[in-house]
Formats: sequence, C-alpha cells, structure tokens
Amino acid sequence: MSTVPYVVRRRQRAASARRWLVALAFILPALAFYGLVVLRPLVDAVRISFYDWDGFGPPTDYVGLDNYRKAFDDPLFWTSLKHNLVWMAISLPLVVGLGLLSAVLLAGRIRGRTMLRTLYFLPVVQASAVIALAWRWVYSPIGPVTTGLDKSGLGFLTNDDGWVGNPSWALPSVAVAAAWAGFGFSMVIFLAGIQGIDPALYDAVEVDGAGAWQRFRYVTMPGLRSVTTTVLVLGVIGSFLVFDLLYILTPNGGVIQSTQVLGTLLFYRAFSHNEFGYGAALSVVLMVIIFALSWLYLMVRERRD
Amino acid sequence: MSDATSQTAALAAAPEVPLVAPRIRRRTPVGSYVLLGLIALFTVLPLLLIWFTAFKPNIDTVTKPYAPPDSFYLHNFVEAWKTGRFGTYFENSVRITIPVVIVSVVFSMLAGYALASIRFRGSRLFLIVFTIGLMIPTQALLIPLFITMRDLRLLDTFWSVIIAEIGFALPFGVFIMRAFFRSLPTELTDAARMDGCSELRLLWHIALPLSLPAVLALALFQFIFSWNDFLFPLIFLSSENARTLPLGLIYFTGKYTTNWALTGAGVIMISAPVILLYIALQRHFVRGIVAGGLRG
Repeated sequence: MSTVPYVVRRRQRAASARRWLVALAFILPALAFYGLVVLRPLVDAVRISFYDWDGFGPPTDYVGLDNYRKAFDDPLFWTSLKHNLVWMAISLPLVVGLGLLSAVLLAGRIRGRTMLRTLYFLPVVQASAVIALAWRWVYSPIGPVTTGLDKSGLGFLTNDDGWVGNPSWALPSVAVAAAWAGFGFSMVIFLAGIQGIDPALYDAVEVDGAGAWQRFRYVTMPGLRSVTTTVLVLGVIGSFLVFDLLYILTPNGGVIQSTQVLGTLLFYRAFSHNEFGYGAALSVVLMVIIFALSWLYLMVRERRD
Repeated sequence: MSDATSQTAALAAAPEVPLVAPRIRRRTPVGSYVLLGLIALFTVLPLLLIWFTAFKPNIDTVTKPYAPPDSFYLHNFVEAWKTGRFGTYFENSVRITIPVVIVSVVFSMLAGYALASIRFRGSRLFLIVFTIGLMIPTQALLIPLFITMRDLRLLDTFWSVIIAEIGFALPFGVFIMRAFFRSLPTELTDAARMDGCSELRLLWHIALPLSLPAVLALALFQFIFSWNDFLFPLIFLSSENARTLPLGLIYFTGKYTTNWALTGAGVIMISAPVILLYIALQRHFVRGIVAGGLRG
C-alpha cells in the first residue's frame, strides 16, 4: 500500500497548479516590461541586422550577412575596436591598481576609514554628464593639468587643443577620467575580498617575520585571486561598452575619428546616417563580444570552484 | 560608470561592508596616510573644482577659474533654474525617476519573491531568462528600442524613457530580491502557508518587513541609475521641454560653452540629490545588497 490515495493526489496536483498560477501572476508584471524592453529588441536587433534599412517603413531589403561583411571590410570598424582595446590598456591598470592600493591601505588600521571609503566611492555614483563636465574643466587649456605641467617644466607635453581636443591625447585623457570614476568600485570589491581572508594567515606569516610587502605578496594577493579575476573581467567588459563620456567630450567620434569606439560607431551609423541595418549588425557584434567574455568568465570560475 | 551591466555588478558589490581589519597590532606607517591623502585629493579635486564655479560670478570663472569662491554666491542657481531652464529639467527628471524607482522595485520584489519562495515548474527557466538580462548592454539594443518606441508613438514622451529604464532595471532587481528572499529563514513562511495564508500576504507581512534594508538599497540603486541616465533620454527625447537634467545640462554647455558658472550650478543639481541619498542610506546599502547579492 505505497500509493497515495487518489483524492490526496488530485488535491496535490490542484495545489501545484494553483501555485504555478500564483507564481506566474507574481512574475508577469516584471516579465512584461522586461520582454518589451529587452527580450523582444534582442531578437529585433538580430533580425534588423539582416536588412539594408534606413529606419523608415518596415525593413524589406533583405541582404543576408552583407552588413556583417561590410563591418569586417570597414577599416573604421577595426579602428574603433582598437580604440576599445587602447581604452582598456589605459583605464584597466588604473582601475585595478588604484582600487587595490586603496583597498589594501583602508584594510589596515586607519583613522577616518569610513569617511575615506565614502569619498573614494563618490565618483562612482556621479552621472556621466557630471563626470564629463568635471573633466572637461580639469583638462581645459588653462586648467590645472596644463598649468601644472607648464610650471614643472614639462610644458612640451601640453598642446594648444586642450587634452580632449587633440587627436593623440583625447582617448587616453577620457580613459583616465573614466578610471577616476571607476576605481572606487573595484576598491569595494577588493575590500570585500580582503575581509574574506583568514586573519590567522597574517598572524602566521608575521610569526615568520614577514614585512608589509611579504604580507601583501604571500597572503593578500593569493587571497584576492578570484576577486581580481572579477574586477578584471568587469573592466574588460566595461571597455567595450564605453559611450557616454566619449559622446559628450569628443562628439562625432572625435577629431579625425580618434575616439571612435564600437558603441559610438553603431550609434552614429544608425542615428546620424540612418544606417539602421548596419548599426544593428554592429550591435550584434558588440553583444557577441560581451556574451563571449561573460561565458569565458563563468567557465573560469566554474573550473576554479 | 556609464553602462548598466558593470554598474549593476558594481553596486552588487559596492555597498559598504563593515570592515573587520585583519588583526594587525603594529602602528600604521605615515606613508599609508600620505598615499590615502593623495588618492583622496585625486578623487575629490575634479568634483570640487567644478563645484567651485557654481558659487562664483561667471566673470570669476575667467579671471580666477580654479580658485575657491570668495563668498557664497547663490545667484547662479536662480539664473540656472530660470534662464538655463534647469527648473524644467529638474522637474522632468523627477517625473521620470520616481515612477521608475517605484515600479521597478515593486515588480522586482514580486518576481524575486516568486522565484525564491514559491516552488513551481519552470522557475529555473524564468531565473535564467532574467539573468541573461544582466549581461545585455543598453547600447546593443538602442536601435530596436528606438523603433519599438516609435511604433508605439512614445518618442519624445516621458513614457519611452520610463518604460525603457524599468525594463533594464528589472534583471538586477529581480536577481537581488530573489537572492535576499532566499536568505530568509523558511520556518515562518512555511508555518503561515500551512495556515492557509496567501502568498501575497506572506510577502507583505513576513518577507517584506524582514527585507526592508535590501529594498531600500535597491531603491537607492535604481534611483541613481535613472537619475543619472544619459543614453535613453538622449535617443528618446527630442524636444527641449522634455529634457532631463543630465541631457539638458549637456545641451546647455554645447550652447553656452563659456558659462562655467551656470554649468557648475547644473552639475550640483544633478549631484546633490544622489550624494545626499547615498550618504543617508549607505548603511542600508551595506546590509542590503551585499548581504543578498553575494549570497545569491
């Protein structure tokens, strides 16, 4: 007599159906917005990328993979992608370095720790419009950077276009502004990581007479391995998503396209040149890059665990 | 941080964790303080310099551009509010941000609760679908979203921005709320369920009071996201009267390139609410999002 009486089973099934309906009712409002704004456009982006379309009327001119071919044949596409990588090369070391440095310092016995932590995090919550204008002011030809270099005898480094107006300085300058706005975020991740390190390990190496550097090298750094991966991956992903600061500080891709990146390129193609199909193809390329990086990260994390 | 994905991840970890310093008994070297001071200077100087301009007559931003203001000159704010139209922009920003925060938080709570506490077929699938949203950058969907809003005839209305921001706010919200609700002890809800308490009442009377800090933290996060957002207003709002604060400020500086005094005032109007709320709520930020988020 192991079977559950029929009535009970039926009641269980009814209860499970009711639970399903209730759950659906809870999820539906979120799903409706999310579906309209994220899921459907996701499919649309892929669909539009197969058409030659100026954005007016329904897309009819099916061109298959032509938009992708066009992208891969377009030198500007590769230049933009290169700019994303240059951005990464400049901002990532700063974000990781400054974030790690401030986290390690703040983890020690510091007076005013809470205040400093709040201060370092302040740029992270600023609007991109605010960050852009603050740095336009800093970089102005009469601004502190230029005058500072002049006064310290490094005047030859400056230029008359202002930093963001000069084709070779614009991209690094904006990347530094972005790093300023972002390092506080890596700091809190590193801080959380340092907290997870067993204090006994520090005691152990101290008994062996380890100094500050050795404590950092042999306890902190190994303890932060997984957290560092997280910061790095987020930084790499972020480097492909830059838009606001470059759009505001160096409009239209900058002087001679010197600050064109993937995100701005797809924006200008679609909204200034009405090349919606081509823009959509660039969006899909961007998404594939992001998905690939996220997937890679998840794989690495899985293997480590 | 200008994009949703990394910002999302950022704030998941951002909150202030009460620090338990490793048991170090030696005295902190002076060098540490010097370095910390330098970093603090680097952090605060760019903000401070632009804030200064807000409190000076415009002529001073030319004659002594980077000096601290001589007096507390408030006329720039009055002029920015009226002549610079920042009053309108401010109101527009409020009218977009408030519905975004309320709707996204409530819907995140509902969906997060269902995914965490109700056992039903397909819950895993729904979770995966929402999680995918965490990875999708706003820029990649600009084109189809623009078309969607145009077809719905919502371009140049607040609705377009509100709906888009809610949609992009939800994956993170659902993710965080689910993680938080999962961390709650189940004995209480199980008992109440036995007594025939409905799920909605369970959420309202038991789960919600226990997760108020997380809800507040999430609300703050979504406020910052919506208030600071530049991209959606940029592509959806075309008329001058509809602009939000960040968008209005950027157009203003494009038109009056040399009026740094009013620019500074506009910058403060954007920054001040965020900074005040952030400082007021940062303790909830801690317990809320990190507690929930890192456990998920």
